[in-house]
Amino acid sequence: MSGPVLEVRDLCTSFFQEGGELRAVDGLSYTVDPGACVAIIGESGSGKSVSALSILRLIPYPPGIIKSGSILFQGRDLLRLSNEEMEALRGKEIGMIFQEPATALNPVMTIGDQIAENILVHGGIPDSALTEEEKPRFQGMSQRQRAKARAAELLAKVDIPNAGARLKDYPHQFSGGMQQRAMIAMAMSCKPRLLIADEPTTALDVTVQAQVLEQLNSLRTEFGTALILITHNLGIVARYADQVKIMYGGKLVEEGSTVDVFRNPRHPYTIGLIQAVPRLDLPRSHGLHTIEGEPPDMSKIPPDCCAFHSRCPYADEGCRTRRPVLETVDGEHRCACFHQEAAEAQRKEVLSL
Amino acid sequence: MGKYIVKRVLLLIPTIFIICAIVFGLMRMVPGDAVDIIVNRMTQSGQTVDEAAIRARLGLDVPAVQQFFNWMGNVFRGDLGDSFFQYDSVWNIIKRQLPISLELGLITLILANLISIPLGLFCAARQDSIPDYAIRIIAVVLMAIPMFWLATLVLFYPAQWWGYAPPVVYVSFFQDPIANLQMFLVPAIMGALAQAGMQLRTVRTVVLDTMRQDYIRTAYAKGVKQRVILFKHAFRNAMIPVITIIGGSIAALVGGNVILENIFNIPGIGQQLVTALGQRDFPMVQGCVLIMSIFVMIVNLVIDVAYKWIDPRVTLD
Repeated sequence: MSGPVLEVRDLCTSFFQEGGELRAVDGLSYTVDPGACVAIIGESGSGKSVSALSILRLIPYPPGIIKSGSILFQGRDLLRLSNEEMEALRGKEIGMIFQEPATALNPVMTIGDQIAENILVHGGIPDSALTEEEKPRFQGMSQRQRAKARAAELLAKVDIPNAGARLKDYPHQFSGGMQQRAMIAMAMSCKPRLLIADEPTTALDVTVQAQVLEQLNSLRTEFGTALILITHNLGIVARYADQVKIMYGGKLVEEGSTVDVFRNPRHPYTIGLIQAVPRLDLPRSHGLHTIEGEPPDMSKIPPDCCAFHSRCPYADEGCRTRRPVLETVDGEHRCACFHQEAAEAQRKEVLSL
Repeated sequence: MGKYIVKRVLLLIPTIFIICAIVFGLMRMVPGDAVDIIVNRMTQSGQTVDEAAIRARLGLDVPAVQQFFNWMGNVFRGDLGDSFFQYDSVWNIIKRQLPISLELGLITLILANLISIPLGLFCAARQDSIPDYAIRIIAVVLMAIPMFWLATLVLFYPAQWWGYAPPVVYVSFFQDPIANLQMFLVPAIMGALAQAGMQLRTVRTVVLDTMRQDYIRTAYAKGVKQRVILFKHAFRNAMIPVITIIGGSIAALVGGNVILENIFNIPGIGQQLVTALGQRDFPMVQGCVLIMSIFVMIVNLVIDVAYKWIDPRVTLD
C-alpha cells in the first residue's frame, strides 16, 4: 500500500480542568510515511506526548478529550473506530514505548508474560504467520509456548543476554536499560506498522541511550516499522529522523526534513533550540545559549496568537492577536512565523561572526 | 525462605517473653485481686474465711517477681496453670473456647472478603456511576451503625414476627454442621458487614489508584481489554495493600468479638476473657492473652510470606 501510514489532520486535544480549557494539542497536522522516522521535538508541556497518546486514544477521559480532527491510520480514521476495533489495533498495528520503563512495566508480572501477553491478546502466532525456517521449531507448540518462544527471540534481538532464562525475571531484576529494551521487544512483538516512542531514552543512563536507540532502530528497520520519535534530544533527531516536527504550545511551528530544519532553521524557537545545543568546538567563553523566559501556562494562551510571542525577540502586536500558519519555505520545509525572514537574517549574521 | 521462617519462629520466643511480662505486670497493677472477691463471697454466705490460706493456695502469697518466674517456668513446660474460679486448667478452657471464636472469626472474615473485594472492584470499574455511589453510601452506613444495636434488632424482630430464635446451645461443626452454622451465620454476617464496609472503600480506592499507574497504560497500549486489565494487572497489584488490612482484621478476629459473642450467647474466648478480667482470674487472663498473641504473631508471619508470593519485589531477610 502506498501513501502515508499515518495522517494526522487538525488534531485538537483539550483537558478540561478547574481553570478552564487547556488546549494541549491545537490543530496539529502531519503525515508519517511507511518505514520513515519522524521526530517530534518540543519542550515539556508542548503537547508532544498528548499528541502521541491521542493517536492510540489513550487520553484519560475525564479530563482529557479529543475535540476534533482526524487520525487516518492506513486510510482508516482511528477517531471513528469502536473501542473493540481500537483494541485490535493497539499493540498489533501500532506499538508504543513510554518514557519511564521502571513504571511502565507491571511489577508483579514476569517480563516473559508481559511480552507474551501482547502476542496472545492479538491471537497468538498462527501457522500462516510462520516462515519456512520457523515452522519446524514452532510446530506442535501451544500458542502460549509460541508466544514465549517469540518473546525470547525478541529479547535476544535487543541484546538481552541469556534471553530464554530471563523471561522468568520480574522487571525489578532488570536494569533501566534492559527494562526499556524489554519494552521495545514488547512493543515490536507483533511487528507493528507504526511505533510511537515517547522519549524512549530520557530516563536512561547516557551511556546506554545510544545502545538502546541503536537496537530500536535496527529492529524497526528489520520489520519495516515507521517510527514517531518524541524527544528533546536534538542529537538523537539528527542521527535517526528523516523528518522533524517542532512543537510549541500545542502547535507545529516548523517542520521539514531533518537536513533542512537543522541546516536552515526559520522559526525563532527552532533557532533557539539549535543554538542551545552545547558545543565543544567553541571556546569556553562562548557560554551556553538559552531561550529567555519559560514555557507559557498552556491554559492561559488565547487561541489567536503565536504561542511563542512572550519569549520571542521579534514579537510585535501582530503576534499577539493573530495566529501564524505554516508557510512553505521550500519543498516540504514549512514554518509558522510572521518574522521568519528577520529571524533567519539574524541567525546568519550570528553564524558569520 | 525456609531460613527466614525459622528465624521468625525463633524470634517468637523473646517476643512471647516480653508479652508475658507486660500482661503479668498489668494484671498486678489492677486494683483488687481474686482473693478479695473470694473472701467477699464467702463472708456473704456466712462462711469463716482464712484469707492467708486462700492466698497460699492460689500461689499469691509470694512476691510478684517470684510469681512471675513460677508462672513463666510453667509456661515453658507447657502448663498455663489452673483457673482461679473454674475447676479446670486454663489450657483446657482455651482449647474448648478458642476454636469457637476462631470459627466465628473465620466465617466473618470470609464473608467480609466475599462482599468487599468483588464490590470494591465493581465500584472501581464503574467509578462515579450511580451503583458506585449507592454501594459507597451503604458502606458508610454499615460502618456507622453500631453493630450491637443492629444485632439486637436482628435477634428481636424475627423472634417477634416468626417466633424464630437462633440456637443458644453450642454444637460443634462436626457434630451437626447445620445447627452449628445456624448459630454462627447471623453474628458472622453482622460482624462481616461492618468490616466489609471499610474494606470495600479501601479496595475501591486502591484499585483506582492502581488503574492510574503507568503499567496500566502500557497494558492498554498493548490492546488488552479493560476487564482483563482490571482483573489481571490491577487486581494483583492492588492486593498488596489490601492484604495488610486483611492481616490486621485477622488479628482482631482472633481476640473474639466480645460484643457479638455476648449478644448471640456464643461461648467464645472473648466472653471468657472479659469474665476472667472481672474476676481478676490472673492465670486465665494471662493464658488467653498469651495464646492470642502467639496466634497473631503466626498470622503476621503468614501475611509476610504472602507478600513475597504476591509481590516479587519483596525480599524476606
